[in-house]
Amino acid sequence: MGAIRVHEFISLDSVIDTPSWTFPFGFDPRMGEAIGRITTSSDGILLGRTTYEMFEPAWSRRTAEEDPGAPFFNDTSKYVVSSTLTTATWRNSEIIGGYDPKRIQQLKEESAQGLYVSGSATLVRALIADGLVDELHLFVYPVTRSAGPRLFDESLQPATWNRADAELYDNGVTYLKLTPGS
Amino acid sequence: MKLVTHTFLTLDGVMQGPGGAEEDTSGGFGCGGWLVPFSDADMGVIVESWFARTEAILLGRNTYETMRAYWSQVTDQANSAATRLNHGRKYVVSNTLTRADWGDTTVLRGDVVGQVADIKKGGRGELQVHGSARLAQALHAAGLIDEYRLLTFPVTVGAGKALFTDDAPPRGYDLLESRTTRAGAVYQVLAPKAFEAGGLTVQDGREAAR
Repeated sequence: MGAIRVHEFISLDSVIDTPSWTFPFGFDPRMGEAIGRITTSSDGILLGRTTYEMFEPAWSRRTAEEDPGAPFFNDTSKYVVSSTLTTATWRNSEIIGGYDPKRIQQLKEESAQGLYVSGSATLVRALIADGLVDELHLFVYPVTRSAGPRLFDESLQPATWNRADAELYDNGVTYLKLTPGS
Repeated sequence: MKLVTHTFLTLDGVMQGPGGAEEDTSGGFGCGGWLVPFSDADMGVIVESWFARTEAILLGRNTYETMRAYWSQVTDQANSAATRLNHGRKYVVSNTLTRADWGDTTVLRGDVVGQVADIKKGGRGELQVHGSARLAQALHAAGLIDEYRLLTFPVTVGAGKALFTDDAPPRGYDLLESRTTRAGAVYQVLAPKAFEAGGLTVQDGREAAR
């Protein structure tokens, strides 16, 4: 069975909207390595509809020469949670219908290595609430957004996480790898 | 003076009741004491470094009462934090307290933001806020904080008093210092600056940040 690995760019106040506010910080090479470890250990991608619709135009025309992450996003099997989309136009994509924890559990069991999740705020909150997230990889930017969708909202049950790893980058970004606590 | 806030935060941004179940149950908060399992020697070193730099302390009434109850019992002369807290200059924000009898304490009432701005203009050293959710929120929203010292713990509690509230303006920060504690917390020292956002643009057929 594979793990569900969630990757988020997140502000100090837990906002995970379209991360245009990450651009001024540049990209620390160690951060690229950390993200690479998450993607290379996953053999599937699980996305919410909004993130899927943002990723498709951004990644589908990108080549490996332009961005070393392109083959992962384009070639890996993608599962899209949506009750409104009917057909997937991005290659290697499948619409799996509205959110159903049993379907996600089945995908986990079918996956040899694991499923990579990015963005997808609504989906991730549901996965956390249902205890389906195995690893939370947060890249915390020293910014407060005040408004915007939050990773952790007030509906979540109290929970403890284990900090499995942490890296502090020169550009001010803090990487936290969290796994669910007991 | 330099206004510095010291805040224990959960992953989901709550600062309410870190030290005990009964510390602050307002709003029906039932997760008080969430910090205690993560308290360790690394955290102790960080907190000691705060009190070593105290010139004056500014607190909300709840935090003032909690700290007075604890620290006024610590009479050990060798405990520098206790010495500073018990004998140093303190301000408490309250519209209900008429006098405060914990050492040298001045009660601030009415326009707190204006009065804190005035205190900052006089003297040097650090004017330190510890905890004090409502006060810290107001100072953050008003842009009066010169440095934020945050200890963030790997726990989520749901609803509770936050430091960074929705009604404050977005803000960016320079990270002055960061480190982790063995028990799982992340320590960050931040200096505020203007919020910046960028976007992607295409230059010579390639994507670039602007």
